Amino acid sequence: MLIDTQKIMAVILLLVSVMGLSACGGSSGDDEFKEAVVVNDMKITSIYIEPSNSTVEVGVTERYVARANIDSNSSDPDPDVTTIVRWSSSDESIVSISASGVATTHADGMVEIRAEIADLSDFKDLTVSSAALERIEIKTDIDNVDAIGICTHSNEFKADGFYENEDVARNITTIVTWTSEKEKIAEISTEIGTEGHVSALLVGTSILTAARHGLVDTQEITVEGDSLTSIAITPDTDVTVFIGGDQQFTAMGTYGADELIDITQTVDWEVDDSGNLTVSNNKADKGLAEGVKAGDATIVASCGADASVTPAVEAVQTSNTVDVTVKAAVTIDSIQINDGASTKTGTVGGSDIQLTATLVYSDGTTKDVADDSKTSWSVRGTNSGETAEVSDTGLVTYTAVGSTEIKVVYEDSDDDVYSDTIDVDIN
Amino acid sequence: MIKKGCLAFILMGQSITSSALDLYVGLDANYILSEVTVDDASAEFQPLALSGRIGAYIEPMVGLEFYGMTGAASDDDLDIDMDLSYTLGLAARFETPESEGGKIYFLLGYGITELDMDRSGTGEPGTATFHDFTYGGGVEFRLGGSDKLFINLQAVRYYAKDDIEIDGASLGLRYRF
Repeated sequence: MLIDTQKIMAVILLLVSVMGLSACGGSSGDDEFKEAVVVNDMKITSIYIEPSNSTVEVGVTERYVARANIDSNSSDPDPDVTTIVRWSSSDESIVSISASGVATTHADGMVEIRAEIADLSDFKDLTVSSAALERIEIKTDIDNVDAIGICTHSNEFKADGFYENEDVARNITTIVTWTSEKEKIAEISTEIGTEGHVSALLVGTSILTAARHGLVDTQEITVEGDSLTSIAITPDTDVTVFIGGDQQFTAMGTYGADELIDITQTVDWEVDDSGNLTVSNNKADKGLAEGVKAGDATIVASCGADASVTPAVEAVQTSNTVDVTVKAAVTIDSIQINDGASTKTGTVGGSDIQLTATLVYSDGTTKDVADDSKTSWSVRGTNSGETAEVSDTGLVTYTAVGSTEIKVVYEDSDDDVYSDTIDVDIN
Repeated sequence: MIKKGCLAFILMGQSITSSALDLYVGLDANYILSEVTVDDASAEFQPLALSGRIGAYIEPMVGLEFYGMTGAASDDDLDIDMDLSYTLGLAARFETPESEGGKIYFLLGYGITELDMDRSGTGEPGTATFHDFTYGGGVEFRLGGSDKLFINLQAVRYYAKDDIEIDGASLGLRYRF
């Protein structure tokens, strides 16, 4: 058959052009589509930017937080939407702002910081001023800085900055340099988001310092141990950890008569047999126990002890002890129909046949899963004669002579699949 | 690469016009499925649309067709109303040999689609356009033993990128001159 060269060229060119233009694929306006879906899915009615400094120095960062007002039927009022709104600055040469709401100041001036999502928005004015810092003042809402409860960790201190020719102090908590004279007694955080938060670790006195541009302010604080009346760690009964597995423990301190504070992060965690079980005292996963070897171990938490000095300082309080059993993880070995039988027989006119499906675990235990939601029954094939039927609970029904192969499949939560078959012979 | 593609379209157009044309036209009712998924939030819209196409065979079983579609009925989800504004595109059509009055065909092309979204009666965010490589296929049967009239059932993916998918299923008629 003769084929027109032009036609061949046309098809080839079409394919080439499609491949070429696939690189053009894209969209405009789709971000607004996606934002509209997010806003309506979350039932957001409006957004607002949380109060922040209206005036800041040049060369610093200012973190903005955006929150959403939610339809009144929602159980989660004012969620943080900082990372899903679009942030912008009216003048990037004065202030630039990241997608996560962190503004960086570059030069003197005033800008509008705007948060937007779909057709909702809010804004704050921000003035950048290189006025000189004249004084720093440490502030706190803590009732008595001379009696801070041991092991408490959210003792918040702030720093106000007083600048040249300004009537209103700026909150400079995040840009001052915080130090504690005695870190073993009172540790002050310099981590983003928790700047100025003091953890009270040992009984004693320390001096906190906030410093910037050569100016300082100090605050003496005292950590006391009397108000901590007990420590309770949970879980506290029937705790089993598999080898390689873990268990997070929580320590609750009782202060005074009945004030409960989570002190998981400030207590010292100990285990009596670290060969079987370890427990972390690292900030990232404090109180996390991990199984090492099959056996028993006891875990305990204490507060206020210091073994690095002579004589050693005894703990102010010690928690209840919790016995932990460490054992090998149990896995599924197999699934068996009728305990592994290869054949089941019946007689025409007889009763329906109920098959069993049993999971056999690595520790020798078993579990009946014939009507489990993760179990499925099916007819795999007909060996001879009439085919029997099987229900989703393993009940076999039949009307005539025949041999049918029945299959069971169990799929566990890790998507591992186990199966078995049996021949059902009807005579 | 983009320039090569655009140049190829121009050359292809010249190729068609200079050949003897075996033309066909079609009219279809479309069910559009558009899904927007962002993290845990997801919305599905199923607007209806009408489409037409005109094409020409350049080989007995290979055609080139231009198609256009416009919205017929909007759909809403999450209190968002969505309508298809239009779709325009060009596609190559590859057919299998006819058997017992029926055949299967495949479409491969490039198109642009505009959707109109109205959030809770605000009129926002308005329209957005999506252009991409399109592909799909369908089955087609002669209608009443006709030599020229066919009925077809077709499915096409118009767009699938960046958390947004636009697919269409259609039932239509095609007339071959």
